[in-house]
Amino acid sequence: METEDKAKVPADLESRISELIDTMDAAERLAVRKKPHCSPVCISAVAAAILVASLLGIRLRETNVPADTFSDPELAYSAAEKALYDITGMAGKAMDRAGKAEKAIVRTKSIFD
Amino acid sequence: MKKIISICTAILVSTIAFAQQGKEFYNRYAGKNGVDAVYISPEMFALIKSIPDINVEGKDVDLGKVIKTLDGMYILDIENEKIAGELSADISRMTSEKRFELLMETVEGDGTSMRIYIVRKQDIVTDLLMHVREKGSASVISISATMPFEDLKKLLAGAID
Repeated sequence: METEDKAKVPADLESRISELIDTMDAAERLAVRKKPHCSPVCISAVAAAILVASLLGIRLRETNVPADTFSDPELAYSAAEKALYDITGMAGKAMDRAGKAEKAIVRTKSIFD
Repeated sequence: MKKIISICTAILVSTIAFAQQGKEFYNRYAGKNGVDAVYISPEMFALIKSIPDINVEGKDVDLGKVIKTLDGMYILDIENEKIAGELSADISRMTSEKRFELLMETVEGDGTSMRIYIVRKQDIVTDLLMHVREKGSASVISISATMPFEDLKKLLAGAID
């Protein structure tokens, strides 16, 4: 009982406690302000927008699919084979041209050397 | 709200960009005057793959192995200078995208040109595109595939057997 009476209370304790409370209050207000606002309306709006966009995407894809030119796989195979032959033929011409150019370079070099 | 609008715009833009590819070109030009068009769908290629052997007589190179790696094909053959020019401009725009790799090119003095582009994921060629431009005409062969790059090299060298 005697020691309790002798304990000294700092003079600025009251102001320090008050300052601490103010700081905590300010921090809390800041935290509340930063909390993301995500209401059910907002979530539904995002979901609806994604749904509309994906449906639109599917619709675009569907309308853009052309009809097969051939209904017979053998004819389709022949057309694919012809296309590959065309590519091979063109590549062959290009390689031939490159080969001729190489020969011309070698010939030119031999003249200059 | 700004965020929602941005997300929706991004989804729409990617959807439209997807639609701008091969099919879009085919749909844009097929059926026009002076345009011959051929489309072979992935379903038809699946059907081709399920048939054991289709032999086309009179050919000295067997492309069956390569054809079985194909997933879709668009061919446009244009005999109209105006439309050929439009298609060539569209192809140039498309192939300027980073994913296209110019594999082969020949350009002649009279303006005739041939370019072969590919798109590949490591050693697998997923797209092959050949564009030939001549005075008054243009043709495009666009192929989607799952083709080993080695097979493509053999094909271009005419060494597939």
